[in-house]
Amino acid sequence: MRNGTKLAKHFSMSDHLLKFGVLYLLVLLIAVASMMSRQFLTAQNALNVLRQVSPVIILALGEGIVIITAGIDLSVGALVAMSGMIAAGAVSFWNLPTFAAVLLAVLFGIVFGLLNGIIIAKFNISAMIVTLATMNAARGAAYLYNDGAQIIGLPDSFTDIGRGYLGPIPIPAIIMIILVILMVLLMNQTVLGKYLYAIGGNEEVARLAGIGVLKTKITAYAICSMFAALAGVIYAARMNMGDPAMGEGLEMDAIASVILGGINLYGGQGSILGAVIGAMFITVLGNALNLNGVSSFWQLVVKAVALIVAALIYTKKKV
Amino acid sequence: MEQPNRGQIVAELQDISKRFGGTVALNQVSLTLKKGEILGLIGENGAGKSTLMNIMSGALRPDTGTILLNGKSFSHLTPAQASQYGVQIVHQELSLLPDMTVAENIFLGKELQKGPGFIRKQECRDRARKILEQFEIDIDVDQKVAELSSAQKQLVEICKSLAGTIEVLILDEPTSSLTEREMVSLKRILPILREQGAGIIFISHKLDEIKELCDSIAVLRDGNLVRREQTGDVTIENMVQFMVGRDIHDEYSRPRFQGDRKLVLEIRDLSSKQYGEVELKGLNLKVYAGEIVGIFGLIGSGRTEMIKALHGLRTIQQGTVLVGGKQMEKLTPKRMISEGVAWVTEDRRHEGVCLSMSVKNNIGMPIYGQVSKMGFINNRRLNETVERYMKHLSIKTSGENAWAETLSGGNQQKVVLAKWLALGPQLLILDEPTRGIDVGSKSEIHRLIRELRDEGMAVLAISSEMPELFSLADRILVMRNGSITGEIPRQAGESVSEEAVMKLATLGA
Amino acid sequence: MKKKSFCSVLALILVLTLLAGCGQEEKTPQEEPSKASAEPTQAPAAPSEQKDTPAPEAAGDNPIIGFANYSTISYFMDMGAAAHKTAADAGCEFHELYHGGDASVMVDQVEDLIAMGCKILITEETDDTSMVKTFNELKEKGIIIVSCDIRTKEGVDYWIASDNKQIGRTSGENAVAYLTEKYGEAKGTIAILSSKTTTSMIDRAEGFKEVVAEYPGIEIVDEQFPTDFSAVNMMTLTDDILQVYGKDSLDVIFASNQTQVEGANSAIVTAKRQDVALFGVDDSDAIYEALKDPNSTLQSTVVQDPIAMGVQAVTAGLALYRGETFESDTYNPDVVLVTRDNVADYMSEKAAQVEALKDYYN
Repeated sequence: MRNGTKLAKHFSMSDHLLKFGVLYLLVLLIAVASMMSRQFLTAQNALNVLRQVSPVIILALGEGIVIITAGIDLSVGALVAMSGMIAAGAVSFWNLPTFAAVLLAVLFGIVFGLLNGIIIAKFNISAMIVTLATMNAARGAAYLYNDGAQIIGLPDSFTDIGRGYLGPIPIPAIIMIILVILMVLLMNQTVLGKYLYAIGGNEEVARLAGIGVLKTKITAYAICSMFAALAGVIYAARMNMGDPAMGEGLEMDAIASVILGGINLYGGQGSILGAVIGAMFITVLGNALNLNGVSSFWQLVVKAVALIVAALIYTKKKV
Repeated sequence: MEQPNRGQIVAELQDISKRFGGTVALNQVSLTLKKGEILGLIGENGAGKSTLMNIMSGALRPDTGTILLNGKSFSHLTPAQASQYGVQIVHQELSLLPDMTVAENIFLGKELQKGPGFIRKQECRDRARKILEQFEIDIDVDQKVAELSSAQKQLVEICKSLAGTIEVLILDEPTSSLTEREMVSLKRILPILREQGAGIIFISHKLDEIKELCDSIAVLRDGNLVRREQTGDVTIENMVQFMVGRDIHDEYSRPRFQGDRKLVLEIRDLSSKQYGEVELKGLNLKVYAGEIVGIFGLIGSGRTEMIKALHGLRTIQQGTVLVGGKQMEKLTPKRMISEGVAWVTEDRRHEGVCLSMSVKNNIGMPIYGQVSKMGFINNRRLNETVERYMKHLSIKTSGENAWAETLSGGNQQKVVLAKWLALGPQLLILDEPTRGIDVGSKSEIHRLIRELRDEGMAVLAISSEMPELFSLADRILVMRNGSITGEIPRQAGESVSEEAVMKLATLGA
Repeated sequence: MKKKSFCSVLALILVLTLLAGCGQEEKTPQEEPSKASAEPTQAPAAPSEQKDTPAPEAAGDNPIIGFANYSTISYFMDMGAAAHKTAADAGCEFHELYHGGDASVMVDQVEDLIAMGCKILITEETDDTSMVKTFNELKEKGIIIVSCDIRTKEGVDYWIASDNKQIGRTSGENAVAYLTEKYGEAKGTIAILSSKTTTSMIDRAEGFKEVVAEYPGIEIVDEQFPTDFSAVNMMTLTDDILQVYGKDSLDVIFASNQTQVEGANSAIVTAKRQDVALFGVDDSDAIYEALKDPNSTLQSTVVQDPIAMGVQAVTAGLALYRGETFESDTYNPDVVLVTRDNVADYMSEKAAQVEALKDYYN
């Protein structure tokens, strides 16, 4: 006699929607948008959107990792500004070559993330509080760096990062695609990825299994800030300036992308690709609304409703 | 029996001491484990068994003492180190990740790797499958743990410990979630491991199992190691005595309620399903005031599902439920409570007690309304009520404001009981009331249940421990496949036959 | 255990707040010496304790001046520095705070400034309707109120504003000239970036449209009112506008504030749409750079004179305080059209002015 209870792998609609829901929504959105505006489904608009969405996806990737560990990082928006300032300052004030400037900004991001991670993981202080504080610190530092002024006079080699193309593909998109592939590999195929999910699922269980919880958490925040720094470089390149006011509110876009993508805010669940699709959804939504001349008040409402619906769908249900 | 490597010491604990705040959990405990030895570690709740094993497996650090593994000595271990040196532990509280698959859980922390941190996923799955097959456990390695039943989870938990090198296997209450069926699988594992030269430490409250499976026993009482014997040299009564230091008798007593034995609960022809699967088929059941009805059934028989259906947590296809003679139109937990039905669930940590609330608030929760006037809680009345129950049930704690988390399993269960009793129910439903609870507390709780019965309460008790049913129940109903297959009443003077029960449970009427 | 970490977090927050508070007060250490000379008889009492006499007290020739400024963007900083210098030259103590456009923050800050003893209150970019009540209360206590850059004059003694409509008109005229040169006649298509909530931007768009309306050949094909006009968002919006209006179907984009100009400029440059000219308002390093950048299509920007405004604010405030009167209670400083041709000259002139003020920046 078989020991069978609940072994039947029945097809559960709710499980399926959880995994692929936002993808369906995105497809639906694209369908509706192309019907409502001639310009939407053109190659040019597609490239346009691709460029717009690339830094948002990069931010969402980093934020997604942190949220999977049941943490959160509110400082990414401010870090975008700070890293943009550092990169711009490096090429403009110190005349460093572009790649060195980018490296410097990324390095700063990593150190910033390590700081976040150490304070959160070692001293056990809520991630929300810590990253709120570091967010303000980074924003303040960005303003202090050049007395509140922007940094201009950036060389073309730097600006190309944001505005240039490699063949027909915008450079930010290339950076984004590389990072997406790396992240998917990391989260699905490596030990680190599995440990990140484990810690988010149940930190004590992970600890008892011999997983280095402290080390892994710190790594998550370091990666998140590193990605935010990269996004900051891209924004600075696109705007052709280091701007201390840059990136205000971007952390909300990152978090919204992650939630829309089906990653559980309580951690341990969700595909990192979901964050990518969530970011695409938000950006395409904005693009579609702009192309149809929808007033920005309505845009706020639509985006808020999308977020609430996503949160409702993705709440963990217990029987 | 030929035991290879017998005689060689595989692990040793020397003078281990541990304090938690002001309480001494372990006091200079020394223990030796030989290769191929199965050691039963017994003691009341709070005696220090889990603490000792947690120290051995790296989950805790001792204050003083040494741990020796295969000759190498440590002042303390990390979980990773312990695992590396072959100490595997199966915890009492399940430590699985519900959102990951069986294979992923089995290899958590011990992933097979290639290259810079990449997981050999296919190999992990194959190996996991092999482990399950070796012990004839029929679970799909790709299934998410959240979808498994409690018993299956327990088995996966055990297999988790088999994924690494095993020098010492520690099993902390491994069978509390298992029914007879799964026990068989476990019993296959032990001799195989012993053959391989591993030492096994088996913590359990089920003394009959200890007697059956273990070569030797070690008894902890109040943090001290008081006895170390060969199992063959002691009886179960001896073991109880060593643990408790006093004599325990837990015998059945006849019901004494003299009042109106009205029909409190009647279920007629109840059929239900969940997620498309049929769970109950035409179930019929009656419970009267002043009696204890025991329910026995194996996994899949539908015992807990019946209670869930009673509370409206399942899709009812047909049937009627009457409480106190009144037909229930709509079944919801709230309605059942207002009709005086109390349900003490299987999972006290998640569904019974609020661990981070005080004992007072746990017990008081359902009765705030009674002890308050116009929305303001009368603290004096609340405290009086709570104290009364704490005394009545002998709840041992540092005070009514202690967090429920700090209580032993037995005392936590008493808190759950107190909470429900405060509502003054007419029907008390108990699902595995003394699972994972030490002998002393078990006996007290049984006594309480009998007292309640004698005062007129109707009691429906589900248990997978036959001795418990035999000591409590006035009638035993056996379930199989979603319906009651038979009833065994208690005849005066006769003892109930275990075989008769098992027959009804496995083969039907 | 949980209680312990919660307490330490609380303690940490408390300490940080105290430190922040100390940071604020250190803002005006240089003011301390002049405090002794100012107000020999008046203690810095709370406003409610003062008598309701409208006439300024005879005692205290050097009143304390408070400035509820907007933010640390260069425009506001220039105004603040100019006001500061003028106050210092007159021997008056000067306090400056930043409200960032938040009305409730502003009310608190005004209260703080009054509590510090300010007799003259200068405000910048306030929400005009919500402050009227506060202003009236302050007037009853004899506080002189000079406000800059708000839409209505109700409740204030003196009003300084660049005429935003004039700014819009100036840009509009420049745009019309550009189009006339491009096509030989006044025709073309224009898209406008504006706002529905910020009055300065609304007025500028109105002024621009006023001028353009006189030329039937010029058509306004699109007007956007984004709620988030950060540079990045404006870049995205302009990207999308450029999608809607393909090559050679849009001649001009008018952007009504600094970040809108910066964002639109980035979008146009990235898309390499040399066929779309950009006209804007406000100045910043990035905008000046755009005017000098051959890849940018920014033709001109209309710039206010915050330095003149700051000077006038304090001058007028002091005058009113001492009982003088003015012919008009309004002052509109001249606006400057900075084009690709004259940007270099303008910048060196401005640099000289800023240099003169350099000690008075916060």
